[in-house]
Amino acid sequence: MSDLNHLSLAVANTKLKAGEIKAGELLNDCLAAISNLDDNLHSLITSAATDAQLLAQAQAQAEASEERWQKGEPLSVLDGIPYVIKDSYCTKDIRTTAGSKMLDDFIPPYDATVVAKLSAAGAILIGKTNLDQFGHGSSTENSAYGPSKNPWDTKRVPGGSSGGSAVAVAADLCLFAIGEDTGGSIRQPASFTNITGLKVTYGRVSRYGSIAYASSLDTMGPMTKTVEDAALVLQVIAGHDELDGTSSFEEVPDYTANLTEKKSYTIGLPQEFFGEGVDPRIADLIKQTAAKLKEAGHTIKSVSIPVVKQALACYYIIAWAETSSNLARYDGIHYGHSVLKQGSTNSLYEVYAQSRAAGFSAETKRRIMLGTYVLSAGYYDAYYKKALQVRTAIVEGFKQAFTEVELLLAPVSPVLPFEFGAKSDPVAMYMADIHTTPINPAGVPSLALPAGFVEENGTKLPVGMQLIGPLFSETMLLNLGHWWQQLDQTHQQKPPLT
Amino acid sequence: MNPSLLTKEDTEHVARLARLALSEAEIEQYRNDLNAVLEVVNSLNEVPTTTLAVTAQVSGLQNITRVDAVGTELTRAEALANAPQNDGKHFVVPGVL
Repeated sequence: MSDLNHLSLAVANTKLKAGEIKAGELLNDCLAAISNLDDNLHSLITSAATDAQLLAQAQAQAEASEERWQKGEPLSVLDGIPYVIKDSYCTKDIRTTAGSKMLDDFIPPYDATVVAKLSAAGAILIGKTNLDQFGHGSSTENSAYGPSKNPWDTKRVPGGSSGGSAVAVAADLCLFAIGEDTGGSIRQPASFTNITGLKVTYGRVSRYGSIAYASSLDTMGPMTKTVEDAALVLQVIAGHDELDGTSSFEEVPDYTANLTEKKSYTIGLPQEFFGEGVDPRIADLIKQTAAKLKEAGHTIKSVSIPVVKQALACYYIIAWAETSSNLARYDGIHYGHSVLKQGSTNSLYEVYAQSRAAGFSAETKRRIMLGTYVLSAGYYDAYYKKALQVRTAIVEGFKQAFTEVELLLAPVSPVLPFEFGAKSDPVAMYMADIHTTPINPAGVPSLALPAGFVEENGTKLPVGMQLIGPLFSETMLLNLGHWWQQLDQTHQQKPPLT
Repeated sequence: MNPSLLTKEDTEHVARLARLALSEAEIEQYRNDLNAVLEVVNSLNEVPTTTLAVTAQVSGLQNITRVDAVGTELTRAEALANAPQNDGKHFVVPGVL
């Protein structure tokens, strides 16, 4: 058999259980797909197809998995399943760059908790995916290693910052990916590439070992071919972690137990997500989705969360402030890019300033400077403190909405996947985040899944929708999302790859 | 909020605080970028916040501690492995004073 890389996680697991396929075959088919397609798509920074160490590790894991399946003792539903992870997650002894020259030769001495959990579950790591460095971006154009290409139209971005992960799943280079969402970085690339992506409740999944962008906003989550697959992955990675002080003690429910139960929900369409600045074709597509949901027995209501209009500004101020603080550790002393490596005898300040200037991209430097500015004396109250107060209003705004409806349905992106270079103006790039950024300051979960396509110049471009729920409502979102994917087959369409 | 535009000196000050060595041309570029972007966030002014408390994080958790006991830590070699300059025992740094 070949082309096993096209399987969903759930189907692959069924076939492994039945003895129809072997972990080694799955691995080989994924590696073949990477070899065939990734020179063009560039989804991976480190790949088992080209990195001998990662390949050896993956092959050993596949062998061990086959033995376990033979004995009927799989470690979990993920045993033997090849996956890729955003290169912002530390992987022990495997190069981890965060997409930046700053960490070009960084080899972590430990695994992120998410990586350790997936490994303990038998999943097989086959690549570290491309990203906008340190999470700073919505297109992968801010990667020091070149952008990734959208498999639906290779002249267009796949979205970001988890663009590489999205491409790898969309192009069937793996069976699932792990991304990271701070202001939309899982949802927007999922929407741009016709896959499913889950931004979990803040604290649901451990952040330990994930290279931090904004510590009060960062969330770790699955990017998959189906909602069912997302539930299967979430089951493994969710849960309290002693190593992450912000990790939630909330019990992890069984995300798959009631996945197929048909429920009727009261769903809100938040007005502010459908107004000015949204491509009318996208707004229409989501409204058509709402109509189909209504036909199928759900209740659709219009709601309003006025503070959403200021949420982008609130998000960015907090994100810039927190990233300026988090990136202060890259000082050319402990690890990372350093002028000391070139035998510099400059002063301490110069070592810091020159190493940092050389290691970070312009966009990253811009965000560090914005963050430094909004935290600096004289401006702290006007910007950062103000943003934290607006954050309270956003938390309340969502709470209020969830007293009227059970969940919200909204577009993920106000624009279609755009061409490379189209948003080179920083303001334009930031404005493309208006639909995803309101969610993160509130900490609520959001499931992005395919809604349909819009044709532009003869090319089909994916459009995603997001289901937003109250804190820890992943079970509900996954239930509705899975049910939608039985009714609607958009997610099964594959990009036109040769 | 008084969104006064950043001057060259303001930008140099921020760069110094951020420990970023920037050329004259870069200072000017970032000055313009920062001013353009900060305009976008002025919309925060539209939200009345005088009675609102701050929300720094949404986990609802406070004072999460661990037992002060030695566990499995990095070895010295592991900790130094990525260091640009080390003498096998320490990170070597330029003089601080």
